[in-house]
Amino acid sequence: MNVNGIGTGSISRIADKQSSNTGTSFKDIINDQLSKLNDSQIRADQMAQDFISGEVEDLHAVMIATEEARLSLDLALQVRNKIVEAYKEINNMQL
Amino acid sequence: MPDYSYSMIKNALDASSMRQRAISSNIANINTPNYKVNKVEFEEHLKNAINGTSLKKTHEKHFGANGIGDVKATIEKKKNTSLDETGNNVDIDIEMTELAANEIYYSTLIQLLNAKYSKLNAAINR
Amino acid sequence: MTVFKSMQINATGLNLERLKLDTISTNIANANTTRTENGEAYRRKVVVFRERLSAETDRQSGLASVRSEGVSVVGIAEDQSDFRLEYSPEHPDADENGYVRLPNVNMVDEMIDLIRTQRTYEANVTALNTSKSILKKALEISKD
Repeated sequence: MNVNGIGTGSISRIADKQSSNTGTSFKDIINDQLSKLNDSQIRADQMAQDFISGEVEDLHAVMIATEEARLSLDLALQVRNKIVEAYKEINNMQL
Repeated sequence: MPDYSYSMIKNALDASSMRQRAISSNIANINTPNYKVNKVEFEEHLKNAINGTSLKKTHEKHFGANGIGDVKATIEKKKNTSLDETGNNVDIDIEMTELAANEIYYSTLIQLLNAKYSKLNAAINR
Repeated sequence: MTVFKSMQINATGLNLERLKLDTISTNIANANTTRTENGEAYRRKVVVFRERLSAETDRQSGLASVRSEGVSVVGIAEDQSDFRLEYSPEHPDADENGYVRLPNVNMVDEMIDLIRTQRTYEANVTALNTSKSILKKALEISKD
């Protein structure tokens, strides 16, 4: 099984994908990913609402939207944790 | 290499749902005079996308790198099969077979989807 | 709720077949009824039905489309074929020539319809159960 770890590797992959349209600023990358995360949460909420009001035709669409939102959030949290760890590590360096 | 398989699974699930509704309507209309069978096309569209030929020119979509992941199902009436004396062309045996096959198709897709989510989960939370 | 659309479609099928069953039963029960309220012999009843189509506008693309969503009952009609004639002069409903008009109900045909109705009913039940399974499967997405 091919499992990719999350670390700076994924961020540089994201940077590669984004550099063509958002520039290579780290802040831009983070903002972009955050808005995508937000979109996925909004989409999941919208789906839930549509389902309850009887608009949705496919149950799997609701489940998928919910799961995608959850995974996006998980990913964002892990990335944040890694960044905070890295920051702390840098802070602890003896100068 | 881009991973179409996730979008393909999602589109296949939509196709399977559409197919389920089509088959349900066919079964409800087994005896309806002049009724023509509903048919959902998905696998054909996929094959065309993979082979680089697109039947429907109205689409403007070039099936490039991401095209295969965007193929969606369509539904139409099948008019060229044999009719009974009331003009109805539902074959109950075919429909029951399609019904069973579609259920397995859907189940399999769900399993594939869950496998993808497991991998992602493991990767994220390692 | 449209998540259950598939099941609702088969429900229309079940509904139709049940109505047909009732109609067939009535035909069989009245196979020898020589006098009804209108003075005539009983006329065989048939259910008239057609495909149920619904016009829908797709929310995202704005395209209008017609969807096949089961069957709908138009009504119950009377079979206009001729009555059977039987020579039976002593019968209270015999006409001046001694002939009685008997209902245009043919037992064999009704039995065949009955069997067909039952098969169709069962097929719709199977389809409905399959739709239910599929919905349950969808709930298993990432059920960890």
